[in-house]
Amino acid sequence: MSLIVECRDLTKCYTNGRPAVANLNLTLESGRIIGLLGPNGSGKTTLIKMINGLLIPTSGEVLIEGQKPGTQSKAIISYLPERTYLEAQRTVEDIINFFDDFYEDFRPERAYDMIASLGIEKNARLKTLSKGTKEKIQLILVMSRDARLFILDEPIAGVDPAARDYIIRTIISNYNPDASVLICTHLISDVENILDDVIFLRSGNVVLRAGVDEIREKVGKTVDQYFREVFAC
Amino acid sequence: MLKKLFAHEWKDTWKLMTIVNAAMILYALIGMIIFNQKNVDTFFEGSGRGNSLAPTIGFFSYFLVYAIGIVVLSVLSLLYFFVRFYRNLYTDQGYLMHTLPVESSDLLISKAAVAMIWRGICILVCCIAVIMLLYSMGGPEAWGELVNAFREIHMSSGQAILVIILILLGIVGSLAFDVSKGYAAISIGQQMGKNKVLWCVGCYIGLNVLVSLITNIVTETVTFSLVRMGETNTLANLETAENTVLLIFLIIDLAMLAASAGLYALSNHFMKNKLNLD
Repeated sequence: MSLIVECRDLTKCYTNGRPAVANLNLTLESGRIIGLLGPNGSGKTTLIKMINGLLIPTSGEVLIEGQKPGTQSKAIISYLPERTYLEAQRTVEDIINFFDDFYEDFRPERAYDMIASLGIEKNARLKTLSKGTKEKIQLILVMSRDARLFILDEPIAGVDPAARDYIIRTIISNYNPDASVLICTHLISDVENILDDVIFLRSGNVVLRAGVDEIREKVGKTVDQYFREVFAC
Repeated sequence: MLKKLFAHEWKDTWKLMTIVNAAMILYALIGMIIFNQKNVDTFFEGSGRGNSLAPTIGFFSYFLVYAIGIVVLSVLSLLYFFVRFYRNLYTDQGYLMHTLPVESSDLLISKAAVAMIWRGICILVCCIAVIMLLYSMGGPEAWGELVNAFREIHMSSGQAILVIILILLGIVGSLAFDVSKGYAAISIGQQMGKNKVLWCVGCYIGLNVLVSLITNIVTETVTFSLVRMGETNTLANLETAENTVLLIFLIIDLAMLAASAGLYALSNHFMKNKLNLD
């Protein structure tokens, strides 16, 4: 297993002065599915955005395969943000062509197969589709890449249980086993069966890092139960 | 990658801009047919005799829509590209654009190039629409007078080439400067914690005030110098004045290009080193 992400004394303060991420040291290895878990405001999304180069750290650094976020890291990370980032005027085909043009590891045939399996017309404009369908299209685009690191921020939030199953199936059946998947979610029970490791974040710091099997064996609880115990209000 | 970014930016904007520009030309063409010299003369004679108000209303309605069309092309088209830049790079869509494996400078250049081209086309269409209407109202005689006026300008071929180069340089500089001011204002506004859009607008107004101030100072100084030259009205002084005017135009063109480059560098710095997407 090789290191894919390394955070060294990573800190991010917003304008209110309070650090969202504080002196965080963390490494992620390849070939693992990792759950990034924590209550609201624990710094999960801030950390993800710094890995993707969407936020500049206040201090410290984040390295992706030894490099600071830039064109090289963006070429190997496939990122699903918690919001819809696609232009509503574009058609499904337009957006697939767009991904195909910019990402060398994008597999359009895989995307078209998944789009067809959902019964979505490739000529459909995104503005005519429901929120759930747009989220599925976004996930299909992200999972149609042969990326080395997949970062999925709340991939199953706000969708019905059947859609959640579809999304989880899509993640499992499309990711390259040599790649890493970092999943940030509150719906732990839905994803814990596919996780190898979990990272618990509180106030921008790692409070626990362990294997899912390790938690089950040592604590005798599921990750969901253990999360509720650790972060009980 | 720059080529691909440019192609996608063009694809996303060409339909709307083509429709707006074609509509303006079509509208000017309709005006050309309706308001030819003969019709205008009849109209004014008719209104003088106190005939129906209908032609007057029709005449002014046409020019109201015409004026709105000119404003849309010259001002709102620029605003459209500013809004597009902001939405594409600093709202939710920025999560896609800033995670593409491309340099921030490529994002900026592709957007600026497309905006400049369309801005140039819009201004050209505005000019064509105005000329079409003036031609139709003034008739061939007025057109002939205008052509004669240009013929009376005596220039050597060298001077003519220099003037053309300066005009082209000025057009490119002015287009680049218009676009770069907006992009820089948006990029600066994004650095603020709250009310980012308001800050963008404030920065844009601030930049424009600063530019007006500098332009006024330069214009006043130049006018004063030329007036002083005119006081001793010798042939040698006239030649010097002509050369001075050309030199001043060259300096203004280069200053606009330099200022545009500076503003692009500023926008790129904020995008590359200070990006903080909400």
